[in-house]
Amino acid sequence: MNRNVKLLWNGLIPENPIFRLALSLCPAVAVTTSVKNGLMLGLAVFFVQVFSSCTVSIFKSFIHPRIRIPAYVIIIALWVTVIDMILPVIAPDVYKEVALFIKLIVVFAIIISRLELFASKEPLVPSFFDGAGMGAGFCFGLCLIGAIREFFGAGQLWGHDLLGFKPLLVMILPAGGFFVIGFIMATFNWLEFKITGKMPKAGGGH
Amino acid sequence: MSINRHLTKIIMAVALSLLICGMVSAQSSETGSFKKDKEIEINFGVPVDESWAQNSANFSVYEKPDPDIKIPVEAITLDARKTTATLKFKEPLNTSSEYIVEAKDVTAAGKVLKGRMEFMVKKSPVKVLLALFLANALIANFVFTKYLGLCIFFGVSQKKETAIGMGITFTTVMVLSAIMCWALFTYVLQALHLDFLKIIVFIGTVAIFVQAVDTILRKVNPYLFKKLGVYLVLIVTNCIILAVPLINADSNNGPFASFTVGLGAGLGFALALFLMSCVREKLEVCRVPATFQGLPIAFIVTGLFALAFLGFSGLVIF
Amino acid sequence: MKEIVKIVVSLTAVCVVASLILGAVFAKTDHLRKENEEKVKQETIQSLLGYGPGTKKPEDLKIFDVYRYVITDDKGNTFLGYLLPLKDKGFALVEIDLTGKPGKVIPVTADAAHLTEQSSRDAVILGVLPKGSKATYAETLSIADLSGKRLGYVIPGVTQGFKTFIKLMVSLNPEFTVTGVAITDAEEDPGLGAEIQQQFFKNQFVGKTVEILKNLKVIKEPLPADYLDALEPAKAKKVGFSQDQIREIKQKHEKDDIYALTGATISSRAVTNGVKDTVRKFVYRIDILTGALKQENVRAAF
Repeated sequence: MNRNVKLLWNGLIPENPIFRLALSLCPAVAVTTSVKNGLMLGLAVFFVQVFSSCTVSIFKSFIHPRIRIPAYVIIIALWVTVIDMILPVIAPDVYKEVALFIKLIVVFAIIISRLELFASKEPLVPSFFDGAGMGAGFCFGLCLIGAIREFFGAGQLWGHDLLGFKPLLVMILPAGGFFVIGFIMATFNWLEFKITGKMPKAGGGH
Repeated sequence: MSINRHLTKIIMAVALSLLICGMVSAQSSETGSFKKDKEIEINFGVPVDESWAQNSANFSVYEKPDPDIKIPVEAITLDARKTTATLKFKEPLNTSSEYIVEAKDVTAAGKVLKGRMEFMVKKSPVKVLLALFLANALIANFVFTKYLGLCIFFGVSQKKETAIGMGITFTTVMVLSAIMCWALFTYVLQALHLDFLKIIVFIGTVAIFVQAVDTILRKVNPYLFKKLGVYLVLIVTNCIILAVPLINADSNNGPFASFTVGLGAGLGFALALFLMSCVREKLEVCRVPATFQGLPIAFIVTGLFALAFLGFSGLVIF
Repeated sequence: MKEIVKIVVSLTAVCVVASLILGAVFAKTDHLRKENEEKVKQETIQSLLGYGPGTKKPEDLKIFDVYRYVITDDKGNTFLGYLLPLKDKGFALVEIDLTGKPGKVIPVTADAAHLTEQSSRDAVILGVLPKGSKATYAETLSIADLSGKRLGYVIPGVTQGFKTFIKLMVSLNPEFTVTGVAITDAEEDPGLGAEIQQQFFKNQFVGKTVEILKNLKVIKEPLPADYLDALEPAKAKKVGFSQDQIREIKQKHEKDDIYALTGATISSRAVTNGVKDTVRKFVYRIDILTGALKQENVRAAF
């Protein structure tokens, strides 16, 4: 039980997929023009990650090691298509804004790397928590970036007008997205330096 | 250097043949063209009677989807050889739509040649393709405007050499898989009403194709493989490689358009990689604050590039 | 050899299972998705007519859908076909040739639910036309009557936006003056072109008559401050405008051209041209249709 909680926490901060592992950055910029969009994609990734991790963990003995990568890709594509079909029915307006990125979840390095590193070796329950942790961390990251960009770019949060004017329109534009993530990453680096006293090595960026 | 030259030659050859095909198809059959936004030019092929041509009652012009709404022709002029007529209109035409010009009782040298001639008028396919290419490479650059391919972008853009290698490998794979995916989508998925399988089929195609290229290259040209092999595997996790077939499928693009989108996306990505690598090489010798070193400063630089590329938006040459 | 067989079997099994699951989910959700789309469309039409979310739809509000088709018969002649509901149950397909002359009136027996779905509607129409004809769906016009009197019209339009197509709906009153504009589908840049969805932009079109629309242009100037406040209901409330004041300001600016959105001139022009073209074509066609219905003594439901 303890290990599972640790796995959950791991994905949220220490090995946060966006800010620390620097994986799957595309959606982090594209989709975070508002908290709602970020949350929707975050939940979609959470769903796909958890289901894929569990599926691979259950069937790991059936998947021949030589074809494991294509098999992982097919499993991920399966769950992505499922969520791609369910979401427009549940939340059509938000879905329209993130439609392309839901389909692109298939190529998110984070999911396939989790399957390769963890789910293919561990039993079902730890795989579930690892997937949940990574998915939650990803979702948290997206919402955080989305909140900053939406607040400074449109003066709104979750569509509710808070400021009544748009302080920095550039925040909603692509350039703003890059700036915000760069600064958040630097902040994470600084926090880690303060806490552990060591400067973390630059992430891989995959 | 020679790999670069070979691959560049191949891509240029294909692009050139595409242009020629486009130009040839544009001249064939009865087509007219937009000359400025208030004029249409049609070519009869033979000299026609001036009196007949200048009678606007002999011409009927309408937008293809609205055959019941005729657009009044203000004036008609013939050129010196009397084979080409220019129809002038009062209101600007919608150049992104298709128009039909019907000519009734085409008369030449006093005799009625044909009872009815129909001309299709739309933006030249070459222009449309060139505009599509520019749109995908610059105006809506996949990295700076659509934020796709960032995954690989930050990893591979540290040195100029790796950037160029990745750029070329990627463009080649992109273009070929765009065409393959189009063919699969049109002839297999749509024919069998299995559209919802497109995500799986596209990514499967790309994965198999990359694996095939990897195996073939390893055996056929080990030198090339040593230089570019490592990038091949990374291509499969590049968002752009899946985004382009999906965009082509959703917009119902034909083969030429799919090819052009793939080419534009690939070259745009290569350009972004190259620009980024130039800056990052310089950054290595700059004094960057410790917390910003590595990815954070790379993101900020990308943001600046994105701002710069914003200047391309609204660019309309073709 | 055994290795390869095992690999192939393994991979095939994964693919087959995946496809089966997908097929099942697709069958379930596709149906729901289409229902959702239809519901959203009906809600948009209602709110354009003035009965948005929050206001109840009056009992005697009747919305009639008229489907326009472009038909080519086996001899190559092209004409328009309007599938419309009749006063006493049933439908009719009214043919009108390209010069506006009415042609045949073919009675159509089908049930209304069947006709809302395009593929079944296409089949019904092909069924009543002579063999060898081709019918292409053009658009659906919605005619609204309140207590038997004409309330207005809601018509769809499509225009080329900055990024891709913009689909819109325009509502007109019986004199064909614009009473509302709704953007149903657009993929413009957030913060720039996407602002065409904002009330202060769309409401500029309200009150523009057919005459004003003919010469309507887009000017690259910011909205005058009082106009901006009057156009957006939430702002008007905050500033404290009374209904009379709002009406006065709107009337003052009625003949103004459309003020473009900051940094989104192309999107603004696209919507303006879209509204102009849609209204122009509709006014031309509805005139011919009402004339044809009168001439052929067709007792339409509207």
